[in-house]
Formats: sequence, C-alpha cells, structure tokens
Amino acid sequence: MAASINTPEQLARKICANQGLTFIGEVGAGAFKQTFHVKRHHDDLALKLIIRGIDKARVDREIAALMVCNHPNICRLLETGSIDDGANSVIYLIEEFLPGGTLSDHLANGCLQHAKIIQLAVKLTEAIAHLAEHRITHRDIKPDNIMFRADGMPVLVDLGIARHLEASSLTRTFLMQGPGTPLYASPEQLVNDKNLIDWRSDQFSLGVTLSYAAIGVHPFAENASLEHTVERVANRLPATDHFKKVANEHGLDALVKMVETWPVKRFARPAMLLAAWRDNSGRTA
Amino acid sequence: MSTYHQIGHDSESMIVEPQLNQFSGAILSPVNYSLNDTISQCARFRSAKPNIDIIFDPQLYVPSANRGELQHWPHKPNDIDTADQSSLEWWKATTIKIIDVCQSFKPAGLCSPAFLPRTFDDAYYNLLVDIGDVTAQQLKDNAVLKDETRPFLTALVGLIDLGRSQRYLQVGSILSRYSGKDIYLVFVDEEKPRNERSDSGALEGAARLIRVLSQSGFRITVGFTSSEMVLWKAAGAANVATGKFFNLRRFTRGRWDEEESSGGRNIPYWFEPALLAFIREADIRRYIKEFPIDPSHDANPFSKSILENLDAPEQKAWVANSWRQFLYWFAHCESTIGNDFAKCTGMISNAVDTWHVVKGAKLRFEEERNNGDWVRAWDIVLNELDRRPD
Repeated sequence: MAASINTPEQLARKICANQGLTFIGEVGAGAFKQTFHVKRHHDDLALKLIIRGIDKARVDREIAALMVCNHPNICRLLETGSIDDGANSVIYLIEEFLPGGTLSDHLANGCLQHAKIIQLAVKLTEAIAHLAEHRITHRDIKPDNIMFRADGMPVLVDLGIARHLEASSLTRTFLMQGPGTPLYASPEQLVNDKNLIDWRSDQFSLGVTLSYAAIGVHPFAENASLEHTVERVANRLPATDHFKKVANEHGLDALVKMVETWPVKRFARPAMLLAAWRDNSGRTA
Repeated sequence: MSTYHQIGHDSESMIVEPQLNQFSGAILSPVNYSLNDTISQCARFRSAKPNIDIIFDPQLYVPSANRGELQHWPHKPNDIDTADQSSLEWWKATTIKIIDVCQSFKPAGLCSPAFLPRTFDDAYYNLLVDIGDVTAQQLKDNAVLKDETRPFLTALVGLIDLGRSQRYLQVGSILSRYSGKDIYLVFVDEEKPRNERSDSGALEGAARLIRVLSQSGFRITVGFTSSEMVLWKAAGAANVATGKFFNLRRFTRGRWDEEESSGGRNIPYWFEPALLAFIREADIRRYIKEFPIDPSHDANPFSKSILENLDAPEQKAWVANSWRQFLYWFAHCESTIGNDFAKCTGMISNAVDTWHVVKGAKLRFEEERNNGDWVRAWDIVLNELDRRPD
C-alpha cells in the first residue's frame, strides 16, 4: 500500500466538504478505524475512516452485516463511500453518533446496578437475537463494542468480524491478527471450531461482558493472569466456584448458564435467554 | 411421552390391534410398502385410531442397499447412487420431492432425510442439521402441510464414537443448532443380530447426549430401539420407537444389506422383563421350572397365550405372538416408567439381581451370549448418570 498523503483528519474534512457535512472533531481511534464527530444540519453523526491496511474484506463484512440489520440496539449504518488519498482509496462509513460512550467507559467507575444490568442484558440479547435471525454472529462482543445513545440506550457496534454462518470461517484470522479480544471469546472461537460457532458464541461473550459489568469478575479468572484465564476457557475448564457463588448471590444465575463451555448447555434459543432476563431478572427459572 | 410402532414387513395389521393400542403412533415404511399402500394404510389407521400420530421416515439411509418398494416411490432421487450427498443443494431438491409425496397422505410428522456416512464427523452432523432446517422451512412454506405436519430432525449418531470423552457434548452442541423442536435420534453401531448393546462407555455417551438435548428443550424420539430403551427413557427421551424385529436386529449398515423385504428370520423369542432378555423356547421351559416370571406378564395377553401354547398337546407356531409379546411389553413398560429415573434404575437393578440368581443356579441359555452381561453395563450407565453431571 502506498503511503498516505493526507492525515485522517484532513480526509475527514474533505469528506465533510464533499457530502455537505460539518466537521466537529475527533472521537477516537481503533485498530483499523478513526472516528470523527460530524453533523448534517442538526443531526449528529459518526464518520468512520478505515485508516490502517486495506482490510477490505473486513469492511465489506461489516457493511454487509449492517445493511441487513435494522434493530434499535444495533448501530445504524447510514451511508458508505470512498475517497481517494493519493494512490489509495480510503473507505468511510457514516453511522449514527453515539454520545454516551462505551460500556468500558461506564465500568471505569465501578460495576453497574442490578436494574441497569437487566436493561443491558435484555437489550443486547434482543440485538444478538436479531443478528441470529439473519444468521449473523457478531463474534466480538465486549465492553468496548457496546456504546450508548444520549438516552442511555445500549447499542452494539463494530460488526467488523461478524460473519454470515454460510461464509467460510474467519476464526483463525480473528485469533492471529484480528482485533478480536480473546478474553471475551467463547471456547469454540478460541479453538477455531467453526462447527460450533453460532449465536450461542455471542451469548457466551455477552455473559462474560455482563459478569464484568455486574460483579466485576471474569467467570473463568483464578488469578490476575489474562493468559491463564483465556487458557482455561480454551480448555473448557469450568467457570470458577467464586464466580458461580457471587453470580448466585446477585440473583444472576443466568450468567452461569450463558458461559457454559459447551454451546448445548447454554440457552438454546434467543427467546429463552431473553425470558431469563426479561421475565426472571437474571434467574434461570 | 409415548411409543411409536415402526412398521416393517407385513406388520401393518398390528397397528390397529386393540391389544397393542398402547402405541400412540406409527412410523411408516416406504421400504416395505408402496405409496398407494401407504395412502390406504393411513386411511385405515386413522379410521381405527383417530388420534394416531403418523410419522413418515423417507428412509434414504443407504443408497446401495436393496430398497424394496422404496425404489418406486417418487421421492427417491434417480441419482441417489451417484449424487454427492455432502451437497446441501442436492438435499434441498430431495426434500422438495419428499414433501410433495407427503401431501397425498399428510403425515403428522416428517423426518428429515439422512444418509449413513462413512465416518460420523462434525461436518456430517452439521449437514444433518442443515438438511433438517431445510426440511422444516420447506414444510412451513408448503400450503398443504404447514399446519398438518411437524418436522423432525433425523440424527443418525455413531454409537461407539460417543464413548470418546465429551464427544456427546460436541455432537449435542451441533445438533442443538437445529431450529425445530423434535429430533428423531437413531444410534448406529455394528452390533450383531441378537447381541445386546453392552459397551457401557458408548451407551453412557448416548444417554448423556439424550439428556443434554432434552434439557436444552428438544423433544427426543429415539428410533430403532429395543429393550435398551429403558436407558433412553432414564436419560429423558420423550418417545421411543420399535418394531416387531427389534428383538432381533439393530440399526446397522448390514441391516440394510439384508433382504429387507423378507422381514428376517422367523425364530420365536420370549421377552423376559425380569432378565431384560430375549430367550428361546427351550430356555423358557427351563427358566419357569425354577424361577417366577416377571409379574408384568399377568397383564400381557400374548405371554399368557404363548405359555398356554407351550403346554398344549399340539403346539402351534408362535413367532407372531412373540413379536406381539415384546411390543406389548415395550409400550406398557414405557408408559409405566415414563422418565422416572428411579423406576428405570429399579428395573435394571432387578434384572442384574435376577441374572445373579440365574447364574448362581448354573442355568444356561441356548444362545452363548445370552448371559446377562449387558444388564451389568446398563446398570453402570445409569449409575454414572446419577453420580456425575453432564
């Protein structure tokens, strides 16, 4: 790939000029993307530039996934396009702007209260159920990929490694080079068992995310070593007794079922998972 | 919870026999009967038993086998011997034909088609689930059958393979991807005719597979079963199915290479619940001289008839009654034990004890392997299920 001529901000400003947008400022940068706050008239929008490498397949996957999704808890893609940067063509996405920050930001102040956890669990389960209906697995659910609207509504973002179940496996890429976070990944993702990856893999990652958010622990962590924790998940060792005890004390035993190491032992249907959170407030029955 | 009668060669009359009315349903056989016969059968069955639950199994298991009447059914693909059976597209075309043919007799249930693989690997199980989902979707889209016929995922599962550590969890995780509710589970092994399944590791894996799938919310119907159905019921199977010859044979590849239409050999067996064993005529005579037969025989009209016949001055052939005696026991036993783990355990423990006494008395049965070793294995299976969670 030829060297960039423009900085990301310069490119963002050019796109704004071309598209009739008002440039407001930079929001953040990820492994592959740089995000800017822009406006169209009075509407706040997010302009995302694909800035590193030409992971076109990844971008195409994200666009394809977002195009078929229409759900209030999944980030809305409004437009896509590309802009020339010397010899390169830089892809950009215009999405809804999410001013409420990420779940990681929220957790910096400590665990969330029970009512907030229930709301988070219900809304995100509805989101992964919607993806499952379209035979899409997100495959990278984690606190950084959960953002909030101004009204506090959680939204699932970054479908960059989502895949249609019909597509070939991306798991090896995910592990070897991708931005996916092994700490939240299911055993079947960690061991690249593509026969087992489906919406229940997202259920597992959501379970780990909610565990962090509710009780501040990874279900499989015996000590501070992240490698040790990931290793335990990959080897399908059971969740720790400490986690099970604390989850139960918090009335959240649904979490224990969500992070079962074999998919057949997790909630079998999105509706069952939803019922556990919506009707039973995190209890399994 | 119920029992299904798998129709075989010349066994359709048993479906409507009043003394065998404990069976709540029938699984049709396109191998033994033509389409026209099947249409007539369904009309007769429904007339005699209005609530009968009729299930159609298209039986495309072994392309190269003698397929009897099946070769004349419209759903049998012309290219079945040469087609790439790993192709979902090929199966999509096949399920359309199967659903088409079902419109003429409107079964209450339709098993997705399945084939016997060379190896029971993950890709095979994944394909079965895809075929099951396709069948379910096509049924849902069919104007005639969408409210008449519920789909079943047919899962042919390698029994011996389930003896491997945690294999049942891997297989269960794949099968539970199925979008429907009903799974028609068939365990495949190479056990010889008349030998009981006795690999405790494999049987434990099979029972655990049933348990995890049932606990996941699936309704499991185990097909092609014999007396080992006690294990499947203990594990949580909703329904079990058998036929008149399952006292003799299992679901093996060899089974389909035999002359299917002949119905097998005609040797009569007495099923003794106290031993969970099939014993021959001379064995019955020896056994009842020294031991009480199981109390369940009191209600079994075919047991009485057989015993009377054995004492009669002019004995008649009793092979047909031997089938009925087993079928009667099967349906009534299922109704009695339900999914009550303690009752299932009790039945097997009782058989272990009875065999112990029989061996203590140095009584031997005619068939060399009729030695009760399998009930010990079955006892171990239930003990492990009770002792250790999945």
